[in-house]
Amino acid sequence: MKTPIISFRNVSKRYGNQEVLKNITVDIWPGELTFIMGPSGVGKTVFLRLALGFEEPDEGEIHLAGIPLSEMHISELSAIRVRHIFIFQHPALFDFLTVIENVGFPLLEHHPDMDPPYVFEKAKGVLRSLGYRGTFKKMPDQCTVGEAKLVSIARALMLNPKVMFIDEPTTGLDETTRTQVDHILVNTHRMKQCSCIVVSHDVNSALTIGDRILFFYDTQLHANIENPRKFTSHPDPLVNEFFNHGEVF
Amino acid sequence: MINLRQETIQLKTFTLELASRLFRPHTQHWNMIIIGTLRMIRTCLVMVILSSLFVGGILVVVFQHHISFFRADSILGAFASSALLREVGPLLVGFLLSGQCGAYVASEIATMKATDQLDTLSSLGLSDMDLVIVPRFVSIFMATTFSLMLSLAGGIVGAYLVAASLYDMSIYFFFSKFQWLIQWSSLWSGFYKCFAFGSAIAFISCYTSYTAEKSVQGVSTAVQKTAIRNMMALIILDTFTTHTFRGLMFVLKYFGVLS
Repeated sequence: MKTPIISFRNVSKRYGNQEVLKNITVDIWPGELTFIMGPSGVGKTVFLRLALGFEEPDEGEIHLAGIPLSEMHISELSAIRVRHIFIFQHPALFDFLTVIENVGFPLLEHHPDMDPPYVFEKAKGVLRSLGYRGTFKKMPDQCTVGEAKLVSIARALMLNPKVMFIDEPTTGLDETTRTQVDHILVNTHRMKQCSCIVVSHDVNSALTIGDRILFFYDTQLHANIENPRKFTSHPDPLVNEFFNHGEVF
Repeated sequence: MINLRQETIQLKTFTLELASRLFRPHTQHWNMIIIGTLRMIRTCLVMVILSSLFVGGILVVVFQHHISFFRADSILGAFASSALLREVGPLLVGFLLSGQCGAYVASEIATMKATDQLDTLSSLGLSDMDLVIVPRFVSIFMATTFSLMLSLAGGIVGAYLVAASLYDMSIYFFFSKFQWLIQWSSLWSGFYKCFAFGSAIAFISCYTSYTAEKSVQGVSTAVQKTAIRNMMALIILDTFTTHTFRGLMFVLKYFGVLS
């Protein structure tokens, strides 16, 4: 029997008096390219952070890879995170390392016995396969936003993740790089059989490449759209408005 | 309002985590530590040398005024150097280093936290403690301790230069009464303070920035808090170390370890 990658049961989260997520119950299954969508400030990123144990829920229970997060020791969580990688909205490259070192660094840390030149060659291969055209020895502050995003994705791919949690991969990118990132997502998902859970505002990408869309609105999971490629309209006018205009007015 | 309970829990967790990882050989990243230490020493070297020269000089000027009243100019060098080694040198240069190295590391760690670099390490299954905090803690400890020790020597040189240029003292005359006033205990007292101040600056800077809020405002607050906490800690530690050192000397003499 398949185990969901993430399972939320009646999860709520608040910051002070402000409720961010309310009573969320959802399962995300392996093999899916799931988009998490909704207007700004509805708790999409918080959903991802909760799923990987970066924050704790105020109520409810979260299972990651079938194990309750509340019962997981930090060492267990670290071991699971190697296969379930979070790519932050901000590329978060280590500013004291070059591009190539940023990509090779996690693999070298996990496998200190590996030969560094071999790891860096592999890193170059991954960067090239993602369409990175910049120089490998430059520092992160010399990268464009698009290059930095590619480097952060390459860094995650070096560890051969089973699941990637990606927070707004196309925000701030031009149309060409946006399409390039969409291709990367599809390729990673299909070729490497890596499940992807993507927080995004990009309706077009979600409707063309997504397997499933979870639509959040007003702190709640408002709609669960299976097979978005066949999406024409939804019984809820709010969802229609979002997918037709890209925002809820 | 300071949430004392939350702060205590954070402090306890951080201290235990740091202590447990500090002495695990496989978590030490010596290349990072050495590079970080040299970078910090390079950043503050000129400041340490300049400030220590002037601290020594000030002491000579202040003491000369009183000592000349008793026609005891021959003890000026030893008197100023003793005060410098035991109290003033480590404290004043410690203040400067808490701003220079402490604030530098605090802003670096808090910025890494605000820009998700620390969370990224966790998301890659790596430990931010092992890779960021422990190397920086050791680097800042080694850099500040070394700089403080250097400042002791710099202070004595500064004292001599001022005594020679303002009061026409020869090098022999300046150092002539050193054996009367400066014993090994003076030197050990200075070193003891250097270690204590170095540890305090390293711990406070890492702890304050590691527990900072994840925002731009969090970075500036962390830097500000680090500077204030470091200075307060140095003043408190100065009193504490003076007394504990005397106690330590008494115990060592009592058991015949020191004559």
